[in-house]
Amino acid sequence: MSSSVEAITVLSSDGDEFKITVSAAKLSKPLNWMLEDVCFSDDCDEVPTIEVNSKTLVKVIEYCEKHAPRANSGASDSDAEELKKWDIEFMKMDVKDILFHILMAANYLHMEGLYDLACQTAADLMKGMTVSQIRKIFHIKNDFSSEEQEQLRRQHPGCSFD
Amino acid sequence: MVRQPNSNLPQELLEDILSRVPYKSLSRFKCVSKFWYALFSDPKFQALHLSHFIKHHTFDNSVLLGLSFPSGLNLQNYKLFSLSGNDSSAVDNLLPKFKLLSTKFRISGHCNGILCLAGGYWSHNDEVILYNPATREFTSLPDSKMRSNSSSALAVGLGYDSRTDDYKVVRIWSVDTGVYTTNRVEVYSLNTDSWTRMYNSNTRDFDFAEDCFALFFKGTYYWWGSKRGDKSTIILGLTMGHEDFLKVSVPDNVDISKSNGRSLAVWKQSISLICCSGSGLNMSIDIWVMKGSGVQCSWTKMQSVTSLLLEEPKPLVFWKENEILLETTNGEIKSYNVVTQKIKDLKIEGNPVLHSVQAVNYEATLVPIKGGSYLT
Repeated sequence: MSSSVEAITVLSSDGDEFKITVSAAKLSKPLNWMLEDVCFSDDCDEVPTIEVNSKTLVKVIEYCEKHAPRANSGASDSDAEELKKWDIEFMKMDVKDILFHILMAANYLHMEGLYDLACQTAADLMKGMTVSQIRKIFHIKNDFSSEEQEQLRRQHPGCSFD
Repeated sequence: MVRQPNSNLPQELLEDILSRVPYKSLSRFKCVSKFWYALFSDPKFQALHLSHFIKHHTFDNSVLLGLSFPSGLNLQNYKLFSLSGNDSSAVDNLLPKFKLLSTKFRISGHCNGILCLAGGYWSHNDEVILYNPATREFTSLPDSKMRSNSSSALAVGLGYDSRTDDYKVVRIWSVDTGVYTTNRVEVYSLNTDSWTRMYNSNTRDFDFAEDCFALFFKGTYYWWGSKRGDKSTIILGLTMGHEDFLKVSVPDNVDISKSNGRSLAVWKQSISLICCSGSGLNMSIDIWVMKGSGVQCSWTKMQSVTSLLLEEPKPLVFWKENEILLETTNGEIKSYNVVTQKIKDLKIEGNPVLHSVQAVNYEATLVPIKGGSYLT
């Protein structure tokens, strides 16, 4: 890889091209390996594909670019505080529509920071939900028979199946 | 393990998310499906849940209050109340019904959602119980060999040993040998369900009073003690796995001799010392934070509050990030925010007995108590 390259081009699973700076790509181990293996100079034709859809990849790259300066050089406490606030704003998104996709992408791209953030955000969103809301989000059928429900109600007074 | 059908999220990721959901919600979600019900009682999942809980939890969103209430002729009835972060006026009763502890007991320690309840110094009852109020599982600790006519149990403290995944109770006894009075220390392990005497605890230079256990934080037990010579108050640290007490000096020029005017608490992931002195116009609350640990630690004064006009308040714990719970001499509980400097009254029904309040930062957990049984 030429040291003069500052940004690389990758393809999403939908075939769209995205640019990501080298320093931001370093947040992901697989992308980092790619930097070493794949030729990114202008005379190369090969553009690596990331198995993440465009909608999700936009967000993942946005996260990487925001976090890259701190990850690469360290930062002061006030920067860390600012970044924390940014993370909270960044995570304001629909659970099913995008958050789970980001979680899966962070897992696939070995991005520990984003993975933890997405997991915790999902957990925080779920904790206030009702049982039926949970079932809807995860496409789960209530597979307790009415006898089993009755038994559970006796064992755990106040438990609800809705 | 059974794979869960029809979920768009890989099972490993779903379990990882669920392991970060607070216990209170999980106990509702067990009704989602048979798979979820089974998952929450899987020991592997419980271990993952606990590890996230310890790593990420600040433990300060809710508090358990232990309060005595007058009932009949001088008999005191002990009750547990939970105080949650969002609503500071509503308190729930979590009264456990233990036969032997029904008249008087104290919260003698707590760790990862498990409470250590003991009969207390004056009850002449050295029964110790570990109790998880969320799962209602409990166990009664076996009798100690140290019990004799010449010994009395001063205090017990509960801690967690992450290396062996074990809960350990430390108890200090005061023993009258006939010639002199000395301390003896013993440790109970939940894994082995037995007490072991700690021989080199190095306590001959210190006096302990009843209820000298202060708190367990990051692998270290903290006890209040005093030097045998000049009777000055000190803090003693007992680190998990080490058999000797480390002396932790207290801030200079601070009078912490009055036990109702000081408290060790956790604030912003550090040990803090809250000292109250004076009353009315001369009242002040000083807050110190411990930097480092053991002999190398030092205290930094964070704040001095002087404008509250309270009569000899007793500091309890920090909660909701920046609020201190205080008990006043007329039996009220107040919550003081050290940032906004606002003070709020907390309503507790039933006229609790004065000077009886205990408070611990508590959060419900799934933590099982090995060999325990369930309250019905």
